[in-house]
Amino acid sequence: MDQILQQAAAAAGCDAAQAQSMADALAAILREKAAQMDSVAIPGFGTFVPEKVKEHVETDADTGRHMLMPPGLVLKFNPGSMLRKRLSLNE
Amino acid sequence: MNSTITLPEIAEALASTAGVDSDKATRFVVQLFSAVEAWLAASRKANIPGIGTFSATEDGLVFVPDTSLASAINAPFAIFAPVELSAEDARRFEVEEDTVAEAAVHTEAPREIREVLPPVYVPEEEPATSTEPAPVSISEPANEESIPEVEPQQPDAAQQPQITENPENDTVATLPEPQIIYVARRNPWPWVVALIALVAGFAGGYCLGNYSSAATAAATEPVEAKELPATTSTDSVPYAAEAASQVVAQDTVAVQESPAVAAEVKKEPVYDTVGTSRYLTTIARDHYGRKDYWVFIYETNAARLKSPNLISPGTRVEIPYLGEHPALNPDLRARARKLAAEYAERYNL
Repeated sequence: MDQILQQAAAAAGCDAAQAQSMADALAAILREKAAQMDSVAIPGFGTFVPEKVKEHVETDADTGRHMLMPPGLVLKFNPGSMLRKRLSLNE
Repeated sequence: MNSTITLPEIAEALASTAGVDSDKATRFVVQLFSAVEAWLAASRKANIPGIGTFSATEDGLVFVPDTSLASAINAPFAIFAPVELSAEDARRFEVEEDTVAEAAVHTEAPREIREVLPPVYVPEEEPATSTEPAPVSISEPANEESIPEVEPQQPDAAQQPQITENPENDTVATLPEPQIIYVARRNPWPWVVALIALVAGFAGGYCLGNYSSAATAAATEPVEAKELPATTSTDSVPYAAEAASQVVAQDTVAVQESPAVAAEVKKEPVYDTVGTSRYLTTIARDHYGRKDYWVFIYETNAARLKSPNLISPGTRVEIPYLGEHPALNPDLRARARKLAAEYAERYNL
């Protein structure tokens, strides 16, 4: 199991199996809510926000090829102000 | 849709999914992201399996979702794949995107489109019809239909060299048409015209009123003068309009036929009576056509009168003869003003 999950499980007082199942459930929640265009806010950390990306042209700087990229739905993360301050991140 | 899921809702969903209580789920979520923060602070990078990777860079915190999560979220658009474009297609696509974005922001979309589009459509069409419809219908399917309609008109060989040599002049040449429309729409301020007409009407009415009053006063004078010897009376009754209308024609003829007799008749005094609502000014207006000639009446009767403002009703006054059409005589007007000023100073009028 990942070290972060182990650390979180130890701090929360749950075993590894529960931690893994809760991590999987958290991913499922993000997936489900993002499909519904809902945001998921974690207090003190940030917000996961789904965003639509329009079709656009990307150009390869090396080859000069132009690719028409299709529209899509991506999951973005907006860090909270506290996290940004603690990590000394730029705005 | 577009709502925000908070921690209690997440914990409740985790508890129902993973089979743990909500408090433990809440603690797990909090500790999980606390651990992520600690890892970010330590190594500037943290990965949660199944969710994604956080990276603290100089530009900020970058989140890359896990491949399975990203593909699951993007499932509705998974059927699309990137397509390679030629350079011309890529440029045209970007131009269309820009024009659509500009049209969404500005209401004057045709101007932007006209700048963006090369003069492909303008030279091929006739100058009068090409400028207006072409920019409007670029993003619409109707535009593509309009282009083939124009092409059959090209066989006119005389027009093609002019268009291809200076397409800008053609667009300029089409400008006079809307200019003519704008000129025709200009309104010549109808309210100004109406105001001028109103002022002119007032001025004309005022002049006509003055002229008619002077004319009536002049017309009544011979009647007064002739009636006195006929009645051999000093009363003011002959001023009645009925009597005047009866003798006007005869009197004027008689005066013209014998000027010596008329001069003698005019020298005969005419009298009038001051009333409660008939002042010297009223009498002067009736006899001379101008109320400011009251000074001549007062001047004639000054020996019997005290102040012009203290004439008791019933006082008979003599009306002096001031000549033909006294209202039109500028000398009399000037003298009247002088006398009025003199009396005003003397009697504090």
